[in-house]
Amino acid sequence: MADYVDDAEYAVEPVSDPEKLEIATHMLMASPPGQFWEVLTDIRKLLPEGLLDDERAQEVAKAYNAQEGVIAEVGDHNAVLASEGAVTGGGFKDSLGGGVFAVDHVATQVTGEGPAVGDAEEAAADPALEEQRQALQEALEEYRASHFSVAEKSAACVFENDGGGGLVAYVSARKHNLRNWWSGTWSGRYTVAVGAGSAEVCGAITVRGHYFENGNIQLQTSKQVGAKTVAFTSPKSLAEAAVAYIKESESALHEGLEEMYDRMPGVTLRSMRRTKPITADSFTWNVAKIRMRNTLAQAATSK
Amino acid sequence: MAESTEVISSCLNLMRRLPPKDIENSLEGLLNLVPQVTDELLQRVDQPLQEATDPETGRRYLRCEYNRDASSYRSPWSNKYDPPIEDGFTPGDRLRQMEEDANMLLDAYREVYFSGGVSSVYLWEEEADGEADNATGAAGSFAGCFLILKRVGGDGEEGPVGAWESSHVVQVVLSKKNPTQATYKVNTTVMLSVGPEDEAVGATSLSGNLAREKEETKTFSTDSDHLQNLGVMIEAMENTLRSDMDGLYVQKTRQIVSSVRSTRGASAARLQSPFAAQLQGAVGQHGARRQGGDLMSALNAKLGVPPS
Repeated sequence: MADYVDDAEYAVEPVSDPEKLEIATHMLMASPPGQFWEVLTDIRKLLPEGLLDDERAQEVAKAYNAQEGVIAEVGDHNAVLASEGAVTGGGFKDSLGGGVFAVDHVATQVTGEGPAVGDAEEAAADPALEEQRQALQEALEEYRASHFSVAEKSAACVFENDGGGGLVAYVSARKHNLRNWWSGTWSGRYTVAVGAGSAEVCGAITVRGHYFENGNIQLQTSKQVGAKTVAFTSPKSLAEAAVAYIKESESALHEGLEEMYDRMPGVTLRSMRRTKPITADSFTWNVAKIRMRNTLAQAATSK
Repeated sequence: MAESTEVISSCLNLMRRLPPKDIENSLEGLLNLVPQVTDELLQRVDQPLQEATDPETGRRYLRCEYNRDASSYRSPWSNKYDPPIEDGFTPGDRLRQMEEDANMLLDAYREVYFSGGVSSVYLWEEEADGEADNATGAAGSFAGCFLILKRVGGDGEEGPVGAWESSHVVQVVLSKKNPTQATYKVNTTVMLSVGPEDEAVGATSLSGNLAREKEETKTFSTDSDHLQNLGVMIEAMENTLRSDMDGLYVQKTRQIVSSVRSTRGASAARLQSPFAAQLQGAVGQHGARRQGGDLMSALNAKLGVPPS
């Protein structure tokens, strides 16, 4: 068993403030969907006053939002708070509506217009790639509307890849119902490396579900989507081919999860604990009877 | 930093939110942040059970906080600590006899419900403060834990991979007024972990813990009656949790997934009749009004039918 059960350890090795912040950050990054604020509130009560200040909380929330594909409302539509959307100066690009917005990462709320995109960043944009970005944005938006409109909030965003040479696409959806003790997210991130006449699409899907009424049960899925090369002749055909692959991959995962749930009662849980004893009779908690039975069984095997 | 009760309640809140599969890491983190509540946290947060082999009998047993003394663990089969220590706690003669019987019973029970796995029972005397007015029970009261761990799959076998753990912490409080009556308290936690799964779903884990408690007053005449009374309660509790784990908790996470993504695209959804949409709206409303409401009345309200 781990060393921490050795109570004496703490007398000799007090944990430093930077170490405490590291533990707190680790827990915040593991917050279940829609509960970053709740985790932050509780964790602050375990830390020295002021150690996890607002500035630090914003930093961690920004990283968490990027990791989880968290959605913020920008006017009449939604945006994913992806790291590729961040601009120098702290704002985020609105990939669907254009412009830049400022955001409170802890509250995941847009607080106003962000600082304007610098001339240098603007100039760096490649017009051909921008055309492909817009086409992909449109095709992804159609996929989002088709499969994620059941969610409370969903967003599709495409950005130019920070690393250059392509695009990064996000499709994300969530539903939080903390009053009824549950929340869930579905989030996919894909890179589209664009070449001459063909592009390589790959990515990862994460799904999380949390139900915590009188307990704590979580589904955590993270599936890599392997690279696929798609050919294209126009921005539109690139977008269609990429989204077709994204849709196919996400649907395959969704079907896989459904099958896993189908197997759950009859196969998985049954192999752990049965709902009824394997014997026809009900179990008797009688010391004398069980001892007798064991003695007879032993006698039978030793014959 | 907050008061100690507030600290504990924040810790327990966090344990309800952080991923159940990382329970040991989360607990270790909390113990580092708030070492002043170490004892209470170790008591209130169930940690995964560890399997070990009794070097004397060769039988498998389970390690937990309740059979630990320093860094040694007592086996229920040989009653000895591994690694050996001097003056490690062992139950008195009466309780050790009950402990042996309880291990025999739980072992047989485990076999008929789990077909495999490991089980262990540990008992200890409850401090008898018979003199005081607020004494918890008459002399002879005791407490204990009944533990079962069943792992499935792994080692490249086909089929599901995972584990089920049941921990029943029990208390038997003998009545001071009636020498044939005792109160039985059973505090049960079940931990489930499933996964990693196959290719289709990538690295998927479904893990969780559920806790329930129950208290009953029953009559007894011998020590074996205590084990029978406890056993019946443990079995009923486990049956309930087994059914809830599947019917309520696991299936709930499935519903959560379908509430964020629909397997069928919108073109299929658009084909729904207006009535189906209305029905879905009513069911949605019903969900929002919390459990306990009745589906028919939610539907009737939606459709304008007065309550009968």
